Amino acid sequence: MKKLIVGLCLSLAALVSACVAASAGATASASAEKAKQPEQGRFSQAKIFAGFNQPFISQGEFTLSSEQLLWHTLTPIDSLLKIDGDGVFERQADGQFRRQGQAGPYSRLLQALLAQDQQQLTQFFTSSEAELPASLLEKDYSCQQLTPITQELQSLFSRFISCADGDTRVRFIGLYEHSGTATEITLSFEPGVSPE
Amino acid sequence: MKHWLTRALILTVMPLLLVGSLAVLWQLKPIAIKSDMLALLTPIADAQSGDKEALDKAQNFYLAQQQLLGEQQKRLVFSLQGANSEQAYRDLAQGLAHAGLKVQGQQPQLTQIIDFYAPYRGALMSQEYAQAIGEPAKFNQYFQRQLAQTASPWLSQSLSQDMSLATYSFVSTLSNEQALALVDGKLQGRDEQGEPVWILLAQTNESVSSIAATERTVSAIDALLNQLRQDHPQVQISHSGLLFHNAENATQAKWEMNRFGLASIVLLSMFVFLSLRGVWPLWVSMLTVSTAILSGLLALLLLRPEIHLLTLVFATTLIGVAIDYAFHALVDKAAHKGRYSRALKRGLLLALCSTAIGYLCFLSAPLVLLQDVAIFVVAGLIGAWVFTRFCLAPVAMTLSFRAPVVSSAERALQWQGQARRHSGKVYLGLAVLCVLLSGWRMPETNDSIASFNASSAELMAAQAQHQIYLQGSEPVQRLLLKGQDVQQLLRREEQVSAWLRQLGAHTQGLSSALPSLARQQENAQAYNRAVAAGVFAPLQAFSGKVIAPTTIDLLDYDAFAMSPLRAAFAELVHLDGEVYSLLNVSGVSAAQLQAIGAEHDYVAIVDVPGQLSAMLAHFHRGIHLALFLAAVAIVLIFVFSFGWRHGLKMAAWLALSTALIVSLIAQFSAISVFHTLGLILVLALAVDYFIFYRQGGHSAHTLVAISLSALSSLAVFAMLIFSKTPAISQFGGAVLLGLLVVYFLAPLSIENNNDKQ
Repeated sequence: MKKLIVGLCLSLAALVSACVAASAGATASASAEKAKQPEQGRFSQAKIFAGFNQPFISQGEFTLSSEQLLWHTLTPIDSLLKIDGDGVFERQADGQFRRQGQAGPYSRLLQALLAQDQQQLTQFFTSSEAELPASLLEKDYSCQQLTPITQELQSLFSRFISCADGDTRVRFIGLYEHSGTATEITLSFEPGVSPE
Repeated sequence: MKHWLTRALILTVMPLLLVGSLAVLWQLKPIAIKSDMLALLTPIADAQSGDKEALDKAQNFYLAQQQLLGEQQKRLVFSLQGANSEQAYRDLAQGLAHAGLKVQGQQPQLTQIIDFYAPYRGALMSQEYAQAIGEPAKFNQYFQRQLAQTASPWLSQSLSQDMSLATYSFVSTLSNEQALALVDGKLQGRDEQGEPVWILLAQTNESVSSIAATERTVSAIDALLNQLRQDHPQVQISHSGLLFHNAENATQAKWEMNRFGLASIVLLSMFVFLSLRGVWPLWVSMLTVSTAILSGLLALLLLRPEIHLLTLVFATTLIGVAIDYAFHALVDKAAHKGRYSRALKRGLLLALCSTAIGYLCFLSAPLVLLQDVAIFVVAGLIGAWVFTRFCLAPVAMTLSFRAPVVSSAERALQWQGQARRHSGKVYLGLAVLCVLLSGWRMPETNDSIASFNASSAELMAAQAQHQIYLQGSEPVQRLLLKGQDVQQLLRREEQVSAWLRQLGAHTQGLSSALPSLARQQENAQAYNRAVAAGVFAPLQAFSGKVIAPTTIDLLDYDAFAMSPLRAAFAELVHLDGEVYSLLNVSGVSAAQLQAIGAEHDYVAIVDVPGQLSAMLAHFHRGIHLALFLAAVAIVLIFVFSFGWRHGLKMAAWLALSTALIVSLIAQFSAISVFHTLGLILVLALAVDYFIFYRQGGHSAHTLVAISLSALSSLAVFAMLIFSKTPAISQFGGAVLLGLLVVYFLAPLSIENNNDKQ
C-alpha cells in the first residue's frame, strides 16, 4: 500500500498537467455553455524554465465543448490531449488514447474548470482580481488570480492568472510555479478550426 | 450418604488422576499450540516432490511471505463519503490515533524525492528515455514533447538539478496508473457515480490472531464509528480489514457456542432423563467423555512437542463416540441388575478395537495434523473404555428404564423385525437409488477456504469496494522473489518484470524505485555514449546549459534505505542467507504467473486463499486414503469377530450407508473436507451400532443405548447445521444426514434370528 501512496505522490505530475491543460480552456467555457456550441481556437504556449536561455514555445489548436476539451499541440511536436469526465487521455502513435495516470479521480475538477463551476472551483482555489500581465497591457482584458488552497496545488503553484475579454472568453492563462517556471498561454478563438 | 460418596470417589478417581498427570506433565514439558493455518502447507511440497530441497524452499518462501504480509494483515481501511466527510475523516483519524492505532501519515514531498534521485543523474532513467537517447532524432522528439507539456512539476523541479531529463524520466515513470489521488495529504477515490470518497488507512499494533486483542480494538473502533455517525449523520462510513473479519467471526462463534452449547446440554440431559431414572446416568456420561478427552490430551502431551489448534477441532469427534460407551454400559447395567452382560463386555472391546484401528489408519496420512487426530482419538477411546469397563463396572447403582422407553423400544423392535424380512429388497433399492443420485449429480469436492468465512455481507461488500479504490478494478496479484543478495534479487525482479511487460502486465516492486547496480551501470554507459555522440546538443543549445558525462557513484541499497521512499519500497526479508521481496503484478492471468513460477525456482506466487484451499484439498485427499485403509481394517475386524458371512454382510451394509450418505450430500453441495470429517464421525458411530446390534440386536436395551447415542450425537453435532460458518454447517449437515441413514440401516445388518446365532 505504501508503494501505492508513493506512486500517487509521484504521479502528481500527470494530475497537475491535466489540471492545467484543462484550465487553459476552463474559464472560456462559460461562453461555451452559453452558446451550447463547441468553441474552437488556437493557443500559443510559452514555457519559461528557471535558468533557461529562452522560452519554449509550442502552438496548436483546441476544441472546447461541455463534454470535453481537445488540446492539440502542432508545433514543435504533434500531440493530442483529450480531457473529459472520464479523465485525461493522450493520443498514442497507434491513434489510440491512453489514460494519463492520476487524472481520472480529478476528472470532476477538470469538468468544474471546463464548466466554470464555481461551486467546485472554490474547493480548490480562491479568486481575486488581478492586474494585467505586462505582455497584455494594451489589451482590454479583465484578469483574475486563482490561488490554490489544496496542499498539493499549493506546494507546486504560487498562483494562476486567468484573463477574459469583453465577451467573457478566456484569452490568457498563466501558471506560476514555486520553482520559477512559468507557463503563459494565449488563446484566440477562430470559428471553423478543426482540431484533428 | 456414605454409599453415594464412595460411588463418587470411585468414579472420579480416574479423571482426577488424569488431570493430575496432565498438570505435572505440562509443567515438565509444556506443549505449544499452533493456530497458523499456513504452517500446515509445508508438507504439501514434501508429499508432492518427496524432496527435502523442495520442502526447504517451500518453508522459506512461506516464512518470507508471512513476514512480508504480516504488516499488511494489520491494515485497516476506512472510506468516508457524503457531505462533511472531510471533517469526519479528520475526526476519525484523531479518534483512531487516540485509540492507539497507527494512522497513515503524510507522504514524501515531490521535492524530497527529486533531491534524493537527482545526484544519480545518468544512472537512473526510464525505459522510454533509455531508448530515446540511442538516437538523436528520437531524443529530439522526446525532450520537445516533455517541454511542451502545459505543466509538469516533475520537469520544473528536476531541470535545475538534471538538465538531461534523465531524472525526470525516472521519477515520472514511477507514477504509473493509480486509482487514488492525493488531496490535501489525504487519499481520495471515486465511487461508481464519480462522487469523491475519502480513504483513511490505519494499522493496528496488536496481532490480528489474538482474539482478545482483536475484540478490544474492534470494540474501540465501533464506539468511535458510532459517535462519528451521530456527529455526521450524512456521512457514510465503511470499514474493512482482517481485524474486522476476525472480530465478526469470533463474535459469531461465541454466539453459536453459547446457544448451541446450551441447547445441546439441555437436549442431552433431557434424553438421558427421559430414558433412565436418576441423575447418575448424566454424571457417568459426562465423566466418560471427560476421561476420554483427558486421556487424548495426555497422549498428545506425551508424544508431541506441539499440536495444531485444528487437531483439537477435528478431534471433537471423540465426544460423539466416547459417550456411546457410557450409554451402552448404563443401559446394560439397567437391564442386568447393575452388572455388565458378557455381550456388552465383548461389544465394548470390539467397538474399541474397530474404531481405534480405523483411526490408527490416520497415522499413515502425510499430514502431521491427521496423525495427531489419530493419537488423540485412540488414546481417548482407550480412556473411555477403561473408565466404563473398570471404573463404572464395580460401582453399584440402581438404574432402571422409564416405562414408556421400554414399550417404545419393544414396538420399534417389532418394526425392525418386519423390515428385516425385506432387507434384501431394501438393500437393492437403496443401491439403485445411490446409482441414480450419483448419475443425477456426481459427487464433487470443494475445499475452498471460503468455508471458514462467516463474515457479514456488509463487511464483504466493503472489502470488495475498498479493494477497487486501492488497487483499481483490475486485480493485483503478487509474486515473491528471492536472491542470494539484494543485487541478485533486483536483477531477477527486473528480469521477471521485463517478461511480464511483454505479456502486457504492469509491475511494481523494489526495482521500480531502486534499479540494480547492473542496470544503473548500463544506463550510465548509454548516457555517456549519448553525451559523446552529441544526442543532447539540441537540448543544450536551447537551455544554454552543458550536459556533462556522468561520473558519480551508483545508487545502492544502503543509500536507498536512507531515502524518503525507504518506507514505501525497502520491504525486504533476509532469511537463511537469502533475500526476499514482493512484486505487485496486474494485467496478467494467474495461469501466466503460474508458468513463470513453475519455470523459475526463485519465484513463488503469493495467493494466500489459494494456498489455504490447497492445504485443505491436500488434507482432504489424505483423509480419503486413511478412510480407505480404516474401512479395510474394520471389515477385517468384522470378519474376524463374526465370521465371513456376518462380517461381509455388515461390511456391505456399512458400504451402502457410506455410499448413500455421500450421494445424498452431493445433492445439496460439493463435498468439502468438513463433510468428510462429519462422515468419519458417522462411520465411527456406525461401526459401534453394527457391532452392538450384532451382539444383542433383539434386546430393547441395545436399541435404547443406540437411540440414546444417535440422539446425543444429533444434539451435539447435527445442531451445527444451523451455524453461519459454512465449514461448521457442512460438518453438522453431514452428521445429521449420516446419522439418520445409519440409524435406520444398522438394524438391517443382522438377521431376525441373530440372537439365537
